[in-house]
Amino acid sequence: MNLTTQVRGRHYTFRDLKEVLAKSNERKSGDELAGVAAQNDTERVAARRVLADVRMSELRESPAAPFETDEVTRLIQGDVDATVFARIRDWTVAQMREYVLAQTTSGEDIVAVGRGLTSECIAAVSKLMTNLDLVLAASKIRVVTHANTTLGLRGRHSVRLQPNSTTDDPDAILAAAMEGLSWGIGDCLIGVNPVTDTVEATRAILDMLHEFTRSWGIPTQHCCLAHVTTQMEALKRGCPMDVMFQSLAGSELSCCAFGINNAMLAEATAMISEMGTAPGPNLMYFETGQGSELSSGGHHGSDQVVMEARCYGLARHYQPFMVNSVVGFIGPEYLFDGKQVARAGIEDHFMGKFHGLPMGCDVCYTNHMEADQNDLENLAILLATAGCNFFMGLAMGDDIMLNYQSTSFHDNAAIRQLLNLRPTPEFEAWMERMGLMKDGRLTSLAGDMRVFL
Amino acid sequence: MDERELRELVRAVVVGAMSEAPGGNATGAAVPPPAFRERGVSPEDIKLAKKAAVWMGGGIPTPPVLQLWHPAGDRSYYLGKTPARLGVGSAGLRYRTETILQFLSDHATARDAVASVVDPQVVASLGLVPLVSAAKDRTQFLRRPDLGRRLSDASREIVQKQAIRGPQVQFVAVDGLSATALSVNLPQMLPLLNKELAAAGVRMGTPFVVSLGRVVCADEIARLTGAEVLCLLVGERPGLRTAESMGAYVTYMKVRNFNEAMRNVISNIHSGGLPPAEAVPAIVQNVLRALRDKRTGVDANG
Repeated sequence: MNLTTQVRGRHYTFRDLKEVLAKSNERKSGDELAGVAAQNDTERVAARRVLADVRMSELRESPAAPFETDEVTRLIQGDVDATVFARIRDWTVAQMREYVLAQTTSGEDIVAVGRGLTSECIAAVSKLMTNLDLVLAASKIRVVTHANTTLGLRGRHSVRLQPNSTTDDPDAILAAAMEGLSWGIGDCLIGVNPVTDTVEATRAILDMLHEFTRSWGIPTQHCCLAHVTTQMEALKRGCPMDVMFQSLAGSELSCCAFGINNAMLAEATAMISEMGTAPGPNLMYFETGQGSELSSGGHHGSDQVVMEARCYGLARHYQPFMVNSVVGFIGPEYLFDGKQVARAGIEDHFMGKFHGLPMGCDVCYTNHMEADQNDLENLAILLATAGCNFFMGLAMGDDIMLNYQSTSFHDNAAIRQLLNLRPTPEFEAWMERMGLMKDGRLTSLAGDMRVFL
Repeated sequence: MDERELRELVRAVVVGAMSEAPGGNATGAAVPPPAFRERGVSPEDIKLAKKAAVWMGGGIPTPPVLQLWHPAGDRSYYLGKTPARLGVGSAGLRYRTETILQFLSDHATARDAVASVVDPQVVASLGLVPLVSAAKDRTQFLRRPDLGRRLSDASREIVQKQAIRGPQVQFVAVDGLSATALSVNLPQMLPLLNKELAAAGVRMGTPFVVSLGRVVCADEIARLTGAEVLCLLVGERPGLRTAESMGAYVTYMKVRNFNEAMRNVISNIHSGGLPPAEAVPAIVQNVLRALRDKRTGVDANG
């Protein structure tokens, strides 16, 4: 493998593929914090020149974490389709980029090739792509999943309703849920982050959501985002649950910091299939986000794009119903400003779709990063244009429990109208029956919880 | 569509169908909400549901296992249950002008809190000794959490030279992500805290305030002074609801193999959350218990 290049007469030699991958990244504060970022733009271009000529087989042979000590690496390697890999093993990253962008390459083609790639290969391709490259390539790919209803069809834009409460008060949750539903929010999920991670809190929230959604015949899914072990215990005790949630990380060490491992995820997937209240077949919900591996010291000297891609390699093993990066949540030490968040958001969406995942995005920002409402709205439009499966939906985007801002009921309604997108077909039909939507447009009844009262 | 899914669908439609029928549903449950009766399931839906049920071989499905949901109150009841920004109306599909201005104003307050410094008058009047972390400015503090976790060399020297040695309780205030929180809450809390701990006969150390600091930098101070218990107040990441929220950490320091789970935490201290005056007794109780039990954290409470 060649690790040397020249830019404007200056020679650059890199130590190994890990360094090439890291220095090829767009500038991110998290890579700088990890000490793996390029020193300047020229070195960044030099790294990309080297990366362009690296072969898929070489990337597969250089996993971010060692095969012997990292079960995430072993799982990703084991899931690679040998037939596909044999066909593309000698392709360079440059060739793969151009294949993905070619007019003759369909979304199905991209996903098919993705089955023969490790996450490092997919991350490498994204590093040679500009923002519009990432949007255009991702827009070709549709990943359709089903639990109670069908997510990810072309022409659809779905929303996870996130009616969090500061006290897990059922009526506070319902208040936000009812208003959100009347806006057409919540067609892919009504998902509550509980304040207290207990079986009792999980059970109380899901019992309430189950009774409400089933009584009103609302075709969607419900979920309580407690730790997976809490949800499994709740399931065992007969708690209704359509979809099961867990945050993922891209290495065994960092998964360990989240209190999870492969065996646990396999058990959770089997349990929700058997005991959950939705038919499936896709019943898991995963969240990820660039920087979490560095934050738990499990990044193995790799950059945060590679580690994020490995989350998707892990996720695809369990054929989830939905996956999203919580892109602006982690803080400025990993993604400093709106520009870095936007880049990470469209990278994550593309890499996830390339892995064949039903990718959504929590387009968001915290108050201690250099980002504001306009940055959020810009990225939302970019990602919706790229065919992102779903966003979050909160009252004015203000998460009163987790203290950050995400996309609002209003934002999602505006994006649907702007890009001529609709909720899932099942949910749209329900909205029409409720008089909330007609011919894909919200009616005058929309936005008022009194339709339920 | 598999059988289970179909069954769910049929059940949903039948729930609606039952609520359409005059005289309530077959279980004799209370009258369904009016909206369902007005805009419920069409006769075609009911026919289809019955057809599907027969096709499934089970006859007409049994009445729904779920009770029909009933609201606990009207819209104002629900809006009163949550501080979420609900019921704000809209201008087309966007916010009303007043609504977005209020939102931007709350965000500006939060941003200003992140950029703020502790009021020097508060520092002076409370007799706090000012220190600074190893971060050189606010931007570096945000980018480099490691620097905010330790003291600058000059500050370490101040602690070594000036601090009372071996106190039972070392008090430290750290600005964290909101110095505003310290400026607002400290004057209400620290005199009371000192008074109550003094009344309990606790030997206090030199009180410090650290700028550009994170929680962990206070550990260094407590180790340097040889304190038994660290009592730390820190500005929390501002949300849109408040930029004045503070967290209190009480930690028993004389342990080997320290880990983060060994801290007792009281969070959300501000006038709209846990009021400062109510937080003080809780903190004092934690400190006294730490001194008595010689431990804090998850195990200590278990």
